[in-house]
Amino acid sequence: MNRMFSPSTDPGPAAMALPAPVRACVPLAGHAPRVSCGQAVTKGQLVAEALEPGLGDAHAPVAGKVDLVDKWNVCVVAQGEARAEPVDLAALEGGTLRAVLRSLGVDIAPLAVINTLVINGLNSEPGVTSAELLLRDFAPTLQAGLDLARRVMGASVCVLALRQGVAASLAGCDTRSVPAVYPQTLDPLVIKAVTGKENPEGVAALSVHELFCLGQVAETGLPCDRTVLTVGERNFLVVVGTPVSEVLAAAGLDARDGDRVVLDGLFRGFTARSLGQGVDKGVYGLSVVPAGAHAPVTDAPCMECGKCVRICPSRVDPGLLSGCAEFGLLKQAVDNYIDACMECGLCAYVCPTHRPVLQYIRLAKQQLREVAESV
Amino acid sequence: MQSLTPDKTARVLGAGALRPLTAAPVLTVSAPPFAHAGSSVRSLMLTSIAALAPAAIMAAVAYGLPAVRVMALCGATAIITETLCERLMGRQSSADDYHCLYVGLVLAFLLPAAAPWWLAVMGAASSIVLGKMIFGGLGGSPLSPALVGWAVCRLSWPEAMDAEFSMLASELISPLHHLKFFGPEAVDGITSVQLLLGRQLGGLGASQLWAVSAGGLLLLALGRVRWEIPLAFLTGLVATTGIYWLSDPASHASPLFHLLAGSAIFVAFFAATDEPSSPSRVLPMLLFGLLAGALTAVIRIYGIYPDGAPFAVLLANLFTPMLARIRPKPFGAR
Ligand code: SF4
Ligand code: SF4
Repeated sequence: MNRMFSPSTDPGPAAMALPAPVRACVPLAGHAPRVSCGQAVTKGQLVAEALEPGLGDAHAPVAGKVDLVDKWNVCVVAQGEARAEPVDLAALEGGTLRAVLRSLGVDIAPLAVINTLVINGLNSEPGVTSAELLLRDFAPTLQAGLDLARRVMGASVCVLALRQGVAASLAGCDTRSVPAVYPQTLDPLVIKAVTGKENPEGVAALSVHELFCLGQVAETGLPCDRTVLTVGERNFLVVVGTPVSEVLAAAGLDARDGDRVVLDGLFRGFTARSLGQGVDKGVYGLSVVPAGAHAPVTDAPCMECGKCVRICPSRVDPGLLSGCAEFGLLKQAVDNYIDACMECGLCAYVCPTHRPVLQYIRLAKQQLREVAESV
Repeated sequence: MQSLTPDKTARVLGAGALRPLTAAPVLTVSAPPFAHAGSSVRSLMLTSIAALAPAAIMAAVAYGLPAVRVMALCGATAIITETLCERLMGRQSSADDYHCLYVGLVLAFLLPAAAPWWLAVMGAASSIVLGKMIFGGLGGSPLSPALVGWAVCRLSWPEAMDAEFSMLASELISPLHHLKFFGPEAVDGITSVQLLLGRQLGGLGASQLWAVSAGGLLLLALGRVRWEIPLAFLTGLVATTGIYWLSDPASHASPLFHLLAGSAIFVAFFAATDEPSSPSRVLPMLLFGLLAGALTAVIRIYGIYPDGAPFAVLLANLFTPMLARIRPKPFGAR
């Protein structure tokens, strides 16, 4: 078995807590800023409003003064201890509770009303151990998050999916060992392992990182302001908005011209635009991929080797779909089940021609979304 | 879709452009995944060529310089033809991925050692032009490229392609010719061990049986080729010839003879597995192999060509688009 796919091992020592940053930058994907430069903000104050339904608002992770507002960030220079008024969630229910959670920065899209809740307790990607560390060291917060999630989702059954050999539990949840080899660690495949069904109705999965965010909200009545992420062999507890440069420095890593600084994992993550970019809520990993670490992606034609077809957990033909995207054949892409792709990244990982297989598929999906929105 | 690395950016915008005033590095931004398994077309082709090596060496030992000459001619012609085609198409050359060299060598393995120079050149050029480049290059071929070149030669210059005609000086015989023209008694005396040791006339490399088999097993062991197509091919051949043999042993050769004589094993591992022209999922691969194996038997028994394996694979290639339609329901589809 490829080392890349082997189940992650023990999370190691407790997460190292980094001090709150001197200047926190909150990333703004899908948000519109609601503060201006020079404005003083309290910790937990709204700084940007979510533009999409289901997405949570963004808040200042530290108290201080806003010193940059642009399309991508709101940056706050830390100063003082002032914090926003906590919200009492205990009295709220149903729609009001959802609306309040959203205003507290919680993404409510994953909190659908269902009857079976699967907690994905696996480290979702190779090289990441932060999920199991949360289970081991932050159980009370996870429990608070789970209780809140169940109140919102109304789930009557709860199953905690774990890698074989991991001892963890959450009150009210059955535990279940499931295969922990990537991509089996992804939500749809964990749900399949637990229920035996593919995309069954009335079942949803939450990751422990989502529970951790929710748990912080439940415990403090304030927006989630910390995340645990794996960098190299270690885990770090960081304040949201901490620039990636500071996390890298703490881990003894550094990035040079042309490197990719990857947030989350190597298969599903995203790249930082600069070292000043802040770590967002729920980010579970950080790594540096040096320039030239592997052959560059090129727009080579598919050689029809079939490697992607055989490795794809969605059982689609990624080579074919990428060709549809390349030539703008969106209808053919839909006919060949582009929607089934769960974006695990394995197709582009194995492609010997270094074709941007998943990149093309994501492009086609985006174009399809735009077409759907325009009608 | 190439990522805009800093040095590229600098080339586009002039050195120093986009560099922030601070000394912070300029990062590359791209979409996932950010890891790669490490294989490349070149590494795949080099593995395949390495698997050809034992049989190439044995061919050189058995036939001497003429065999080396045919391999060199085919390989060089394939590389030159591909480079010329790409020049004409206004494309960057891809000859350095060694796919064309591999195609040339597979063709050489199917030619007789005594093939005249023009035959090797015509065959290799047809393989690349008609088998690969007119379909847009690597990945477009609906037919196995080396077999296209072989078929062009086989149909156009049958005498030159016939090892028994072209190698009169050799004391070896081509078992499938003898079977076709003189019946099963004519090949009674030929033992499996003789066949295995390569004591038969045929394609210069394809008849080096134990070396070809060793190469085939190497491909399987390295995961370069999957077992479905070769195994199903050989099963189809043995099963079909077995049925004929069991029904009438007097007028048919044994399945073991069919397995070991001619180019069946070579074609099963090195030509039928050509990726663009064969299916890629398990069940279609098995059906493809079985079909090609059964067709080999049918052509050998009823056809006018003694060795049916290359034609059988070309025919099976035509079924590939249909076989590719056999596919599982995608994840979660209802
Ligand atoms: S990313 Fe590629 S391999 Fe993964 S599910 Fe999508 S198409 Fe399949
Ligand atoms: S892995 Fe790459 S070359 Fe092979 S079939 Fe898939 S897209 Fe085509």
